[in-house]
Amino acid sequence: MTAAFEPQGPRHLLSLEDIGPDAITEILRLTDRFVEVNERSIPRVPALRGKTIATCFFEDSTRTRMSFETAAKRLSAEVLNFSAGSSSLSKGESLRDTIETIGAMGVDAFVVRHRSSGVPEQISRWVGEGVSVLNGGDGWHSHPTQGLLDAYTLVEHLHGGAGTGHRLDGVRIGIVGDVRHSRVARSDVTAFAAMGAQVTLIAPSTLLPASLEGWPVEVTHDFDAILPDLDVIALLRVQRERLADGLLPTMQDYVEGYGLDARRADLMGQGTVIIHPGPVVRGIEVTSEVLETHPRVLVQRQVANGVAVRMAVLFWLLGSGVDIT
Amino acid sequence: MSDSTQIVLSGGTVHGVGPADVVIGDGVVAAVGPDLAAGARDGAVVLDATGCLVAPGLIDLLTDTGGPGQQERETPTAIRRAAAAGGYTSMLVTSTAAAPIDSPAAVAERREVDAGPLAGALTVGHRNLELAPMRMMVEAGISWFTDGGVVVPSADLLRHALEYGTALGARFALRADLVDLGAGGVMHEGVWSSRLGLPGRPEAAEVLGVQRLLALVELTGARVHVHTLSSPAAVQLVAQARRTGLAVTADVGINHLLFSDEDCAGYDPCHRFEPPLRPAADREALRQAVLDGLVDAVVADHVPCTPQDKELPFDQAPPGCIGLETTLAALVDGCGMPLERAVDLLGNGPARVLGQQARAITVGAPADLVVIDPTAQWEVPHDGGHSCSSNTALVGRSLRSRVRHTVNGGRITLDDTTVTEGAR
Repeated sequence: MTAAFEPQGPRHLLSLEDIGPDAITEILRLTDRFVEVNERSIPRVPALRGKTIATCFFEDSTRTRMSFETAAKRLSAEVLNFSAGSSSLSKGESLRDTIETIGAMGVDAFVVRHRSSGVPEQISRWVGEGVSVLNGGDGWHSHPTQGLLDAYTLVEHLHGGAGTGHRLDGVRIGIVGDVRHSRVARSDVTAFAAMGAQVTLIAPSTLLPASLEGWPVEVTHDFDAILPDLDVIALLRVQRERLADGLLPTMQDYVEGYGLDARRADLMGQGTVIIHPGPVVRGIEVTSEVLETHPRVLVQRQVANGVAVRMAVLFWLLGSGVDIT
Repeated sequence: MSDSTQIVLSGGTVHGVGPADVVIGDGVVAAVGPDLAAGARDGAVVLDATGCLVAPGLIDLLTDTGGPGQQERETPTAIRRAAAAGGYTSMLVTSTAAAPIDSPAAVAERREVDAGPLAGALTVGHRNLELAPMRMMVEAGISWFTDGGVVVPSADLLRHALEYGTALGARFALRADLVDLGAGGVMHEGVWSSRLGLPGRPEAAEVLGVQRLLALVELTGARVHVHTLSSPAAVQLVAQARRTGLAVTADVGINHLLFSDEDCAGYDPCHRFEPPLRPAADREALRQAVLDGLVDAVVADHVPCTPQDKELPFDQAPPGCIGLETTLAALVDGCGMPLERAVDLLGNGPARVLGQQARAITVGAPADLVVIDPTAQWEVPHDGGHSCSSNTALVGRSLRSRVRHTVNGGRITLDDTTVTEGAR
């Protein structure tokens, strides 16, 4: 825990495809250390003392913002918060002006969330030399820290941590729900595949992307048939607006095919775990009963690991030459 | 320099003629032949065309010139300068929703500032609710009508516009992709839209749109030019319709010949177009279709946008790019089109679409000429050139072949790659 860490990766974290499997593995190993830090009575290290991190959330997300903010503070970084609702964006200031204004205050990294795909990448072209951009979720495109924390949670569940070389080889993961509109699904697929898992997308055809060419996945529309073979069920949120889009006939129709209820829970294999990125729409992707009574729902571990993973990512990008302790 | 000053284009290869000098006087071609520079009048301006192709001036069929109140994006002066630099001597000025030409007054106003024929709005404000006063606009001098790049959703309204305008002798320049298939799509629906998490519009939207339009052409007998086909299947449909005798012409936008959907991967809004960029295989098929003569013209599809607009998120930024200054070089160097073919697609083809006479460079022909150096290497400037806007994905790109001189109506508008006062 004393050797200084020398990051080899890129300056930004825009998507997991960008950084590749080696960096994913490296970040998960770093996460072990921050899980340990978070278990201390005073969960704080001076690793990023003097660094300033701006969280720029152009789309509301209390959970992810709090997770990043907690991570930054536990690394002793300063945190600037920006949210679209309370800002000059509503007065017509452009995205670029906003970023450049905040950048002028002296910022080492921006954590960006936006409802439009690609905004973090656009912003990465506008920030100053040496300033990092972390994607905190963009449109349907990518949510890299969610993919990392989901992968970490599974590695932790199976092996106690990422350690040196713990992977998800041969683990069968079903991602269930609205894959088409899900940045979580895209990042999960990349993270799980990088760790060696076998991923199957489980959804009605209207909730799948138009093309899955190049995706390391299998696809099925039959949840019941594949359910007993899965080691992990990764549920995605299904929003009611998909009805208005004409992508689903009724919510009931979706729930019949893909909702995780007590009957389907009985079909699950011994040891199969359930993860969900939250917030859960109870009664749609999963019933309250299953959520509350199933012994292997890892949602709370996901939230806890989210802080550790974000500490690892911030440290990976900004902690060059610094000891973690 | 007065209009009566003689101009000699010396030492070039004249399109359709061979090595020859061209003498210009009184706004027309006065002589074409070998070694004419020596015998030119005193005070004649000799422009060096050594190693260059001398061709009829280029004509663009789809240029958004900005229009009143749009000076942040473009001005008439900037358009004339950009056109001169790009070798254009005429263009079909297109009504847009931002600056609609939808009344006799608007026609008169635009005549004041925009050179070239105008394409008026089919519907008031391009809102697609009620027909523009087409008869009065025709009386004011309009002979073309356009949807302004926004496809008319109602087949009934479009039919009535075609019927009404055809009876007035007007022609139509229209886009064709259907609007209610993949309505929210901001790029081609496929591998890349799926990876990038952007809503896609399938190629089927354009195929269906062209089918609808062709059926309406058959129903109404309208003479229609279809803008910016991007789907090879749609190009085939138009070519087939033409073989059956329908009065349909078509163009392809330079961007669809240059780029593919994969280029959207950096989320640069300068790669957002309507219709969207297609997969690389489609682009290759489109290039082949253009080479095979299945379309009449290639258009610059010049759409100036402010930096603020192109700094919006990809899915909110307006589509389109500027192109007047780069289209020729992009077609030759970027798409591998032989230069002689390129000047046909950018000059003679559009002229035929506009119903102009054959444009051979012969004595008495209008002195709208361009001199192109096929070996000149140049870099697209970061300010985009003479346009008020700089929204092009070609910024910084090195291109081979460049317009050296442009003569428009007997006046030099581009002299050795420098825009002259004559272009203002």
